[in-house]
Amino acid sequence: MRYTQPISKLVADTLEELGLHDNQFVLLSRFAINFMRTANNDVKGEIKTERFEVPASRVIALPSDFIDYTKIGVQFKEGVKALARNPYMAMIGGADLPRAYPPPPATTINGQNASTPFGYFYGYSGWTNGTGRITAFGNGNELGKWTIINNATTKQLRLSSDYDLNSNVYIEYLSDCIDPNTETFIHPYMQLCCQYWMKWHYYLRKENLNMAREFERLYNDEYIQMKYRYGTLDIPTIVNLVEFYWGLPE
Amino acid sequence: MSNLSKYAEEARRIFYGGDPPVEGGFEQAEAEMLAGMALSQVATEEFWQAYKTDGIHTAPSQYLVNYAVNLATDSARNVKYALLPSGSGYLALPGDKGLARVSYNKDTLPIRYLRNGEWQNGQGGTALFGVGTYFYSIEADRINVYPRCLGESIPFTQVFITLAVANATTLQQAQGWAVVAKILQLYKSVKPELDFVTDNAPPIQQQPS
Repeated sequence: MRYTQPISKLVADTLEELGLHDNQFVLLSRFAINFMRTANNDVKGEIKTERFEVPASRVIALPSDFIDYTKIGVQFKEGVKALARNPYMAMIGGADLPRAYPPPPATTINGQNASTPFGYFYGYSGWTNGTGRITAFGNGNELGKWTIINNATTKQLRLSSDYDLNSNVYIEYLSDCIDPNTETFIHPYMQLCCQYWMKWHYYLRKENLNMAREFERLYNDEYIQMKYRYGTLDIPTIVNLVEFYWGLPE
Repeated sequence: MSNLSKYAEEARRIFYGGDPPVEGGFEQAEAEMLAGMALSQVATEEFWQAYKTDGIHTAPSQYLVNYAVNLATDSARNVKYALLPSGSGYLALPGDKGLARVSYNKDTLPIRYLRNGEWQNGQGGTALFGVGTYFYSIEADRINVYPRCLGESIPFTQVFITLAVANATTLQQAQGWAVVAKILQLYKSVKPELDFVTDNAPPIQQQPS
């Protein structure tokens, strides 16, 4: 018997335990994947780096998992390297709560009016849209402006004409973390928790509210304990679990 | 003569109280047709019974039959589909649960069920992408097979479908009496009961002399 198994096996087990038809597989898998996304986002954000070449339109399509930038670096043709850093980008906290919940910016930053309150939500903070500039190392001269458009339909980095075509642009960004699928392995520690999540959501949506309440009455204490046990672990264990799931940080 | 014919004949014998008359109104062909419907009803009732008592959501496995079906292409929609053999006693259970399983590669790799329209709604950014490689949904007498993304193609040309089918092949002796009773119930519900007993006839009015 394997205790470490992919989500699909856990879903198959749950189907059998509840006596469900195979055609509920997609529904339960969605619950499981949402659980993994939630659990993942509760614990760790993921920083990724991508390299792009400046196209003729000077518009770069950002990756679909882009949430916010941490750094934008440019390597101009002449070899000049320059960087823009996002000072209001919060790493996800856990123990580092002051960084997860930074105070809102009081003044105008990078030319953008900060008087409008930003949407602060758990985990991420800072600019998801906006305009900035690349400044050269050393003298701090402005080398060019850029704009990020990040909404439901468009994810673009637009560069001004100061940038050379075909030069390299590096974007270090906060990704919306792992994209779990049914072949994602789930740690034994989280399996029961994930199963409870699936069952509760199944009862709530497919059976009736009373069954969900009954399930909750029976298992919720245990479920909550399991969920929050994750947060009460000592730091080395958390690091081990996180590395087990999502690998070493870059 | 299949089991179903025997049960149909038995229902007629019970109805007529012996050998059915040659000119009788309840014919063998009619009884056999009712027997097919009766078996479907019995199977559906068994499904609901298991659902209520044991929380089982699947059709009783005695009714399951596996078919290998070739895929056809609907060029207008660029969808591959298999015909659902609905004429042979397919149990159209609620929630498409009469179709127990669809798979490919010698019935080893599963194709995942989606509600009709879920594939179109689920494109891009939902959890659908991670759930499976190929999906199917039922549309009238068709099983439409979809890839994960619009641009992907379906490399196989044959799927294996496991259907709940109520016909002479899947009928067991245990269902026999229920089928006969259901035939009689169906027949009597639409046919007026004949009364051959002359004593029960209303008296003929006497002509005035």
